[in-house]
Amino acid sequence: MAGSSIMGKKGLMDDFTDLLSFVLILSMLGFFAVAVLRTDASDKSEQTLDKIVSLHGQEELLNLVNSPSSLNNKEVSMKDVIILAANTNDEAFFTEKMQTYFEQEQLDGGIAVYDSVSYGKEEEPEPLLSFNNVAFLGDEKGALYLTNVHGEGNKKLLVVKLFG
Amino acid sequence: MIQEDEKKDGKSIFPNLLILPKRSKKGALFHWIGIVVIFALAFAVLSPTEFGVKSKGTWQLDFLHNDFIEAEKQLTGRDQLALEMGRQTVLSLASKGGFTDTPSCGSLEGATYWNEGTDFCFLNVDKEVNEQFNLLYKKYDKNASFTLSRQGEELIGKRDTEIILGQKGAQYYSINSGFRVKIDYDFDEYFTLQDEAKKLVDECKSASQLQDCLDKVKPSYWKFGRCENELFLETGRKVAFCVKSPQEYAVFENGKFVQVQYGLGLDFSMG
Repeated sequence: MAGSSIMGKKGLMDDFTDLLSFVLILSMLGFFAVAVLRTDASDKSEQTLDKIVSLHGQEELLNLVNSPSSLNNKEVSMKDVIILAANTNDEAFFTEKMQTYFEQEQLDGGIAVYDSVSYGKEEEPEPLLSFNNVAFLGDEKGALYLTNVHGEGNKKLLVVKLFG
Repeated sequence: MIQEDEKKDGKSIFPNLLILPKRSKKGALFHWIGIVVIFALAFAVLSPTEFGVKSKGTWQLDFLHNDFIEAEKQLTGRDQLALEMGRQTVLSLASKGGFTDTPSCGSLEGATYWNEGTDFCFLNVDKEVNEQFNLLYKKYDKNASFTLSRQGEELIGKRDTEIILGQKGAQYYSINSGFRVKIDYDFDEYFTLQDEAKKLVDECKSASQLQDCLDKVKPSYWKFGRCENELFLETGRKVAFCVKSPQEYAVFENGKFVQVQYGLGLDFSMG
């Protein structure tokens, strides 16, 4: 009887230990799952926000190239300005126009214009024209191609990139 | 055997051995739970299927990024090309008196004649604009075939071809490859010039001193021969003119504002 009582107690102890272990494992799993899900949710939110920021960057680039500018007191588009500056290699003219635009739109960053041949082949192509109002250009916001009907050689197709 | 002995004696020689089989089963159960959990975690990490939280608006953002914005960028490039071609169309047509090809009234020393005696070669502006524009655009797109229309100083181009983006199986996003660009020029100016040309021919066709008559009748922006350094040249009562745009239109071309000047000729013979 005494033996069976001890054995009963032992069994009870074992069951209790098992229950504790089970609860412990479940708690660990729960903790792990919550941690993973929280981190995951946070990562996904960051990814979504990054995409939204990138979207705004692309919009800024489109707004820039489609914005009106003036030349000899007549209205032209910024695309005309970019193409003209690239064809005449007029960095000063380009800088003046971009500075005005960046100040007007309160943009921080920069813009660079490449010929499509160098842009496609070289790892770090040398821009034909560039302007920035910050120490570091930052990440690329967007890029688009412009056909340059008056361009010669590599300049027949230009790549405009906005940074910020 | 041990269990039978145990039942007989009521005591166990190896009490632990009695419990061992039961414990082994329970231990094995928990042992397997651990292994299963580890495998489940490994599967969750390594499986290509995404578990957990899905980012909000993924489809919408991908659509905006890969389709909408990409399409806007392409349209921006195409609009600029159409604008340049529109500007070139204006200048090219003006230099040829508005005709893409030489009309039946003929041409002489580079000037396209608008009449042959009293018969006028009436200009179909829309047809000429269509032809000239598509001719120029074909340098950049061999299949270009736009149907153009005008609205004031705007040129509108329509085309059957669509630009297809983000194609996934049968699903795709497409945009119309047409355009609407402001060329800062109104082709209706040709109608004004045609009226003036008819008036000149009517009033001076019977004049013996053609130059004197034209000097009196022609508007100041009608110049003999060239727009700069006018030079009256008459070949069998045919006179070439350079007409400066009455509205003083100037088209932005290759970094400069080029004033629109029409090169044309008029025949003042009676026949």
